[in-house]
Amino acid sequence: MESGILSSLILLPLVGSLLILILPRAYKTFYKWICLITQILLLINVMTILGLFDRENPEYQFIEHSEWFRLALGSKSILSIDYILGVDGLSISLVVLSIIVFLIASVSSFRITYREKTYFSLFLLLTASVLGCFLAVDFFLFFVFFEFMLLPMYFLIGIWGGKNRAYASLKFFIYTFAGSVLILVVMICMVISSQDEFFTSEYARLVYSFDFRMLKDTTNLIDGSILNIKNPVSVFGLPARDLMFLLLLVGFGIKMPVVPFHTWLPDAHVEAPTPISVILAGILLKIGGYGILRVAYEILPDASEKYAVLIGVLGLVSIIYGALNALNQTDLKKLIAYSSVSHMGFVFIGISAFNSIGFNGAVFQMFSHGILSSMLFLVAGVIYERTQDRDISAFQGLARKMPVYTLVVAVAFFGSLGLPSLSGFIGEFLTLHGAFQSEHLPKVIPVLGIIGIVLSAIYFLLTFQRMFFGEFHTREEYRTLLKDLTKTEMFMLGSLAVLTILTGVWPNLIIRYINSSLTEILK
Amino acid sequence: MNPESLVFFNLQIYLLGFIFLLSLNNTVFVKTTGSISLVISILGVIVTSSLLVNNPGTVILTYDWISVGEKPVHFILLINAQTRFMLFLVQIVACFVNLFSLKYMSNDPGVNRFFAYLNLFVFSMLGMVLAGNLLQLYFFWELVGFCSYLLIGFWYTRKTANAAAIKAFLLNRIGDAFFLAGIFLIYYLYGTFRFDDFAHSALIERNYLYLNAEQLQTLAVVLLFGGVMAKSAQLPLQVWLPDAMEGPTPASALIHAATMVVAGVFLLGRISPLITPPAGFFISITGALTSVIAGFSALYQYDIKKVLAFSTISQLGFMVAGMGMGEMAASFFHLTTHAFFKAGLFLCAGAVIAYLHHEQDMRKMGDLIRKMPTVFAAFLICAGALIGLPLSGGYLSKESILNAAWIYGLQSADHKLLIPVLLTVTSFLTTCYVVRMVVMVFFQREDSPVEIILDTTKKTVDGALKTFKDLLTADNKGSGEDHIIQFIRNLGIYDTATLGLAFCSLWFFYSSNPFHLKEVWFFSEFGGIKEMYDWLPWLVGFLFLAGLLITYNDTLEEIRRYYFKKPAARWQQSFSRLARRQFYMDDLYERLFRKIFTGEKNILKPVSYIETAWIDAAVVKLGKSSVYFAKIAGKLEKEVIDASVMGFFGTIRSLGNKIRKWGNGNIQLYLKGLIVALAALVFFLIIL
Repeated sequence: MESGILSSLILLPLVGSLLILILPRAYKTFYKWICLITQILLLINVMTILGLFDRENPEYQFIEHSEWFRLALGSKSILSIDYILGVDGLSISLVVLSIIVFLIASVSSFRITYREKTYFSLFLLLTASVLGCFLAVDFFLFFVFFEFMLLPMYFLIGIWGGKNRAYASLKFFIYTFAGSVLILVVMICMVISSQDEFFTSEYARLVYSFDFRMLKDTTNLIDGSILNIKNPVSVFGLPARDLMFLLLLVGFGIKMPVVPFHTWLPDAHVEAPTPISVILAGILLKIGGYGILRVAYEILPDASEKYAVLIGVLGLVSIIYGALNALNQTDLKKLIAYSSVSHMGFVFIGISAFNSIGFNGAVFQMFSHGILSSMLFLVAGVIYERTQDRDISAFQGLARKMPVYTLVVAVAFFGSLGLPSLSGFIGEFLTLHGAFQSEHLPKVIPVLGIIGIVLSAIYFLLTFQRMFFGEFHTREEYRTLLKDLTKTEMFMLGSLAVLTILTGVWPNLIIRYINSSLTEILK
Repeated sequence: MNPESLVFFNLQIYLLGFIFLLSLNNTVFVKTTGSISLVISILGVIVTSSLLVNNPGTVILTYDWISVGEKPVHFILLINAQTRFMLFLVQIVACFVNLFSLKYMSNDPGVNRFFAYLNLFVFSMLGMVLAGNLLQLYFFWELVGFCSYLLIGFWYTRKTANAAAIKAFLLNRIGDAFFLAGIFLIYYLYGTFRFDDFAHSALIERNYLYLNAEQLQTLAVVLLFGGVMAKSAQLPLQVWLPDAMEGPTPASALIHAATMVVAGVFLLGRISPLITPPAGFFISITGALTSVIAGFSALYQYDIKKVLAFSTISQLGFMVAGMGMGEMAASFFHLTTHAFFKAGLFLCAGAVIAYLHHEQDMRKMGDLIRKMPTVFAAFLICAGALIGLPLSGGYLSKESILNAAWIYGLQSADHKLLIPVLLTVTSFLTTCYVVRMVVMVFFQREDSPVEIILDTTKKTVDGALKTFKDLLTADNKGSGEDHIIQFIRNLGIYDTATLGLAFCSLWFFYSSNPFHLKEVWFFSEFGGIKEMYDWLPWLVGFLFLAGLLITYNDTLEEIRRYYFKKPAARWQQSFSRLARRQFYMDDLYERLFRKIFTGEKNILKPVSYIETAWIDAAVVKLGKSSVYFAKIAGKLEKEVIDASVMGFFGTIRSLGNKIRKWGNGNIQLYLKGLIVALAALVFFLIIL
């Protein structure tokens, strides 16, 4: 069934981007509308896919497979790089999330008034590469999109960011680039140690394939190659498969981010403009978790299982350490950034459980964090755009002045601190529950993880109290600026709030899509 | 209607009520919200009573909720005896509180928020009562905590209210952390969250660390009890409840006295098949200790709401202790009567506070017996029920718990005797603080209250007799009948609400015999009592009389001291301060919290040091060192590689320059050179 609907998800934003580039500057008011319409079209397409998606089927669906290029390596072997797209339960949840977040972010981008042409074309380019990353079934294709994402992101932070943007964008770029180098090493090792049996017999030459489905199959491993399971090759005293896994863990861990590779995140978040912060927190962080599940767990299941405790401990450290740092912040955006670190720690704990509860919890937590952190950054943006100030102590008693805003902030904050009926709770509960029931982890990890829930309640509640309760009090010049939400803001925050409540009350909305694929990974 | 639609109707009216009332914010309809909310709660009571009357037995409704892996977690609505009485209880108390708030909150600008929160609270409470598995119970458990947070902090511009709200939420969070761990452990041991599975499913034999499955089960129950400690204000997490009185009084009546705080007892009832004997002892000793300590604290408070708050903690200790002893029926019975009389007391207190223009200090009250006779009557009935005087529901329920405690204490090991002794002490303390409160609030200082009571009684009896006579003589114009009609007409909202609750705390709802436990329907529903000690009522009665005599004079003395500013004896002062400040537990926690998070040597400083000085600095250093290496490489490039290449190049060029000088156009010289070279070539060829 080659419908091409998945390709359209990548092509549409590319076409939109090109259109913006072609359109002369005289029509610059159209740029944002082109961007928005593209996102809406994407949403329609994704909804169509969601409707046609078979929830019971754990395999890739809507597969599009065509040859990209073949490279003959001497006369004995061929490197086959294909254009393969497909979605399974894991990727479709994140595709849906990214479309939602991109749509909201593009509405939020309407405020951009500086170099619109570049901004919106880069924005659409980013959309294309993120979607490509989630849809790619070929490792090479995945890597290309994964790398390409950095480019628009670098410029989006570097040109439209805050005061310290040059430093932040460079830090972001170098950090993630270092991660990608590790992934590149692993990719090469993986590809040269397995063969595509079908094509090998057809071409009578050794065919190296980048197809995830081929790499996953351990029967395709070439005897004597480095990733061979039977005769483990050891590198630096570690079996090669373990080393590959650790490299991937660091590579994707930087993206996630997991302590101690997280320091790019607060800087990048604080300096980035609001819509870019939203995308960064809402989607880009999820690629780390997606990468580990898709690449590390599927291709190196034995090695990953060995390091379950390590992943769990990393997650635990992220939770507690991120929360403590969040308690320390006076800048609202920094607080949210560290809370992101803390919440992504739950994802790590969930995937370290190696049971379907934990995996489902991890993906659910990614989805929920995508929605909630988008809300949080939009909320911070509301204050910042009005006063150019993000200091928590500069505001007091906003509840009386901005009641609707207070309501939305309450949903975002209480969702993030894990109040049941909002999505944060289900994610945290399932990840910790999975970790507790897991055979691979000591019970102390989830039990200490519960402390993270208490800590997050402390910093969110204290912030909420400081900013919204008490008598209205702020600097004289802010008084006239602080007005309640506009219609656009209400739309953005309201729709995200509805999503949080919906998924929090009825988790099956997501879980019924992801469950079968995640259970498949376990086998 | 079938139970399913009844339950859903019941839940949805409150949820829709919440959304609707919240959406009326800042509109002209704000004043009407109270009446709307009252209609909703009356509807709720009607719906539930049809569930109660028809008695469909145990109904379990199952829906898909979290389909994870092979063992999905379902959304289960469990309707059995325990659910039914609680459903009814919550809504009827909510209905009275709603009626009361109609007047009490009418002048508040944010009144619609108040009623909206109230509806959300009732919704979450009903959800918790209906929850069929532990996860779902936890879900609504936190939601009721959230509503409590909202209502404590209802007047959000007040600093104290905010602090109290945050304290309540955080302490409950700490309790919930234990609760969550307990849930995980229960699942680990049983492989299920469902309450209906616990009774008959077998323990999975697992060992972890040095604990076997039995011990793990005890641990799990103790962890779950951690949640109860916070929610039902048991030691050592009870400190939030007195502060919670910052909220509006009707909210305190509903949430912090009648319904939410008993959620812990309700949870213990749900997991009662799991409670092992050691866990049961732990639970009951905690409950008994809490009840004594809170009783002491109540004895020395001046704020009328604080007295009631400590009294609530103390009574909750009673119920929890009953649960620990495995006496589910007695605990639920006391829960029910307590809900009515404590809500009644709170509403009376609210009426008093409103009458005195928000004065809460009991020492400044007094003489209200003449000003608010109806409220006084309601207060007296409820207070009698709290003490456990005959003819009240409280008498029966307290009796049943004490009876169970003595059985528990006398029939087994020695250390268990502590529990009935502590509970009996509490019963004595209860008398003391209730008498103190009644004397301080209602009685006149100069006249003897006995005379007033006799006077009023005489008048009432006279009126009644006259009415009766008039009825006998069919004299409709008689003034007696008019009096009664007039009395009923003049009843205000406060009077109706408080009298209604006082009415509910009399005996006849629970048993046809006001003096004996035999006919209490709770025992037929949840399991009977094993034995009855006949000496127990005498003991309690004696304690009551002793308490009455001691406290009455003491209270008058205390008020006198207050007015004449005479200090009490030193030891009395220090003990009263100790008791009033909850034996400094509150201050301890506050100091601990400050020390950890905001003090001089707090935990955050090292964290931020690690963050900036280690991790970020390491990254920056890495970046800088790469620049440094790049510089070295640049130097190497320039000074070694480039220099050597350039040097080589330079040598060649200078060589070329030298050679160029030879070429000066002299053809003979070239020829000479050529010949020499040729000769040399030939020479070399020959030699080689």
